[in-house]
Amino acid sequence: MIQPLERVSPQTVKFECDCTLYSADVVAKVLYWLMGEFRIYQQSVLPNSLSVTLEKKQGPLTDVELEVLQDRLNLDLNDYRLRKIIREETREIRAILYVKAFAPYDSDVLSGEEE
Amino acid sequence: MDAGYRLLPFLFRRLGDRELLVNEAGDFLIEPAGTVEQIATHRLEVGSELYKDLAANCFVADNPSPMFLDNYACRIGSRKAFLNDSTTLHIFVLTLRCNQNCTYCQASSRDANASSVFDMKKEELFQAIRLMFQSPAAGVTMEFQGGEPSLVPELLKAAVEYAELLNAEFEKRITYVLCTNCVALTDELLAFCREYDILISTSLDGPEFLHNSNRGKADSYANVLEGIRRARVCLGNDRVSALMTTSELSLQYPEEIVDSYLENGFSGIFIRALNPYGLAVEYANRKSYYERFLVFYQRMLDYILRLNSEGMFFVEEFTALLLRKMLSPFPTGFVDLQSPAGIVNSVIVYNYDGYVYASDESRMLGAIGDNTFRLGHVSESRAKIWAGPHVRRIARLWATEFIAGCADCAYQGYCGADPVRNYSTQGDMYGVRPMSFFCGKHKAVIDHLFSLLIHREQEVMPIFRSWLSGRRS
Amino acid sequence: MNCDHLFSPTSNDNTLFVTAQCNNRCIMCCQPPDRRDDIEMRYRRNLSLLENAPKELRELGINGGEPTLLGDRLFQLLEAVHELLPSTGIHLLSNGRAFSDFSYAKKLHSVASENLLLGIPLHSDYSGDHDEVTRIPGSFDETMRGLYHLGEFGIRVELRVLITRYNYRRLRKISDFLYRHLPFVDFVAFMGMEVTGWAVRHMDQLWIDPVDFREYLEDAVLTLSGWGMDCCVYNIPHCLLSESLHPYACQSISDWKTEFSADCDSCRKRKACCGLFRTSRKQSRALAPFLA
Repeated sequence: MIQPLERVSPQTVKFECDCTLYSADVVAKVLYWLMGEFRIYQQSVLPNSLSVTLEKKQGPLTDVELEVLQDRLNLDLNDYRLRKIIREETREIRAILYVKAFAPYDSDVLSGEEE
Repeated sequence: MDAGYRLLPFLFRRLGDRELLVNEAGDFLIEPAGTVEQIATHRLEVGSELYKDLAANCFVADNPSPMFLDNYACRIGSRKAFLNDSTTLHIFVLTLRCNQNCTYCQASSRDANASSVFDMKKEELFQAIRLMFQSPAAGVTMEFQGGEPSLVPELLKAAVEYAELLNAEFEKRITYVLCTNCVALTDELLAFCREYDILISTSLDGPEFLHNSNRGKADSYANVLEGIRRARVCLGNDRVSALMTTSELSLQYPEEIVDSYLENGFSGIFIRALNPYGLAVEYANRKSYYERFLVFYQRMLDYILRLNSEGMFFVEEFTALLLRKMLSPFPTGFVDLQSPAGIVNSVIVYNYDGYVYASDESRMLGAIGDNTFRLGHVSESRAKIWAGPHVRRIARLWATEFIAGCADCAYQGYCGADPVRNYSTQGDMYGVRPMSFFCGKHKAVIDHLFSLLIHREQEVMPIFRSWLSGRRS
Repeated sequence: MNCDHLFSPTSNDNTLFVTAQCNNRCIMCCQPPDRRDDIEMRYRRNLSLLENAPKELRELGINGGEPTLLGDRLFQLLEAVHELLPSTGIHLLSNGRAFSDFSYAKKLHSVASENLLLGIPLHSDYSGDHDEVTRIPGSFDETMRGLYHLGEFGIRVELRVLITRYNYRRLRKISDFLYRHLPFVDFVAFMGMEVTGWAVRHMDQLWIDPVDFREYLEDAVLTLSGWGMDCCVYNIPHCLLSESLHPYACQSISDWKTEFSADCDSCRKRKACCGLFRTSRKQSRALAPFLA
């Protein structure tokens, strides 16, 4: 969970993210999906915090939208945290599976010009 | 906390109050919210029914043995088996000349009486065919497009006869497809099609008023129907297929379009959205189109499901392809939605001017002066065209498995990568998923299908199974 | 049990018993294994049976124990069958584990013809449950690997699912698993249990009256069939099956083991029905004739 979103202007909110809970790549992936609707600004705040500002591109951010955004951020941050756990724990097995699946076919038959 | 199991790689997505889990082979499970957290934090009870479901479906394992991994790898590889064949769909743009004026056609087509400089040169056609035969696939499709290819019947004949000649040595299974608007289908041309078992693929957008409005000519519908009738008589009902395109006007008439297909003796339809070339460039307009397209899709699918429930066998082909990826272990050959991308790997375009393009949309870009996806010339070697530095650069970003937005998406194995679409709509081959309508549309459609599976399982599953197995229930 | 009687073209059970040894220890085994090495002795005897077998024999069974324990002798036997009885179908029962060795599967391929059908059982979609039944850890993974190798070589497989108290609730999930993992098998046989051998002493863990798994079985068969996979039901009389499954029921019980009860005389489905196992120590409580 993150702290409640703080309204900075009619279109802008900000929040602080605890980097020990949500690593930078997790936050980045969450914010990626907001790029369509928001301009995103990030700033490191020592010792272990990230300050994120979201500015809605078109029109004001209503109170309802703010609440929806708050819930969404909490959910997404946790989900990407889980994805990271799964990805890291299964990294090796995934590599083994892909090698087993495709290595028998890995001959560069069309090798012409090297880069 | 029960540590006694290993995680296997999987992705997940929230669907309402459920979690959809999808593994590397596209197997999925739908579980209550909170399940993924339980799994990932090793809090599952080993031996519970949930655990057995997860283990049987390769989401967790007691202790994954090498044999288990071999089998799993085999299934993962099977889904990408289309790669072994390399390019199977070879599109020959025989001419740019056309005798229609469709509102959403790329402006590259020329008048029917324009100069033959817009027709493919025979020597280059033959070079292209020789390139085609270098594809390792045991079966290839030779698809003739344009403009309107029936305007150059002598080129068509030369192409087929030359292919047959070369095939004496290669012994491939060749499927010939003629994409035509049916306006200029002579008896002689039809007879030729029958001789070589050429499939006719035509466009039928829906009822008369709609079709004619889309095509820009008042007699287009009558011509198409007459062409379909004659082609069916000459070649057989199953040798004639129709495609529809969903224009702005089409969006209001989903049931009417299905009805027109039924009236004209078709047992299926393929719902296709407009590609961006047929839409206004502005983002807001495109957004509006896609939002309405999704409503249109759901209405049409609902109508088709209702018809099937009443005993009719009528397939929505786009849905069937997605379902095949979701519900079956088999690979599909749908070049528009594939990872690695369909461009080059599955489809290639030999243009009328002798240049080779990665896909149909690639050559449309070429027609407006952008050669980003022009791969070479038919006089060049296969190695240079298919595996030159240009293609290798594109290969770094042509799979959902490793591009941003897709790499963590549960629909990775069902969806596809399309660098050409990304480039033409966003100016960048890599693409920005949050602003991509390609992403938004496919996500929404697949979400809808899962929603049907969750909430209307009894009703839709028998119908979906019948579409996949070809067995009427 | 079987094996030493001479073959008869009118019988539905002509079988070569190749060894009493087995490398699984299935909890319901009707032919409990014996450790003595009987392979050579039986091989010679079986060859002699083959040499005297009528050419018009429609089908020949090969079972045990576990036939793959014969090693390469199994292929010699199959070659002999092919030579002496070229038009006879061969139904080879095996747990499939030996075929997890690619070269062993390849050798089978070299002697296999279209006449060969391998009957291989899976007790669950979940490896833990399957291994609990076979009582050999790792047997599921080996059998599955063997099945994949057989699939690669295009060898015909009859995938057998024996229905017991262990798996009846998961039958539908087993069907889904078979479609996704083993779509290449020739067909799937859902089988009722014969309560003899070890099944008798483990009756409490194993026995489930077919009338109690009727709906589960219906769901499983119709689902799998809906996916386009061929299915059969073995060893379950029509009166214990949902009507929708009657077309899938086969005459599966060896003639010398088949019996009918007195009630069956008045049943209009008697001719199509497989009847009951004379050898089985337990019968359903719900047997009842279909009256005209």
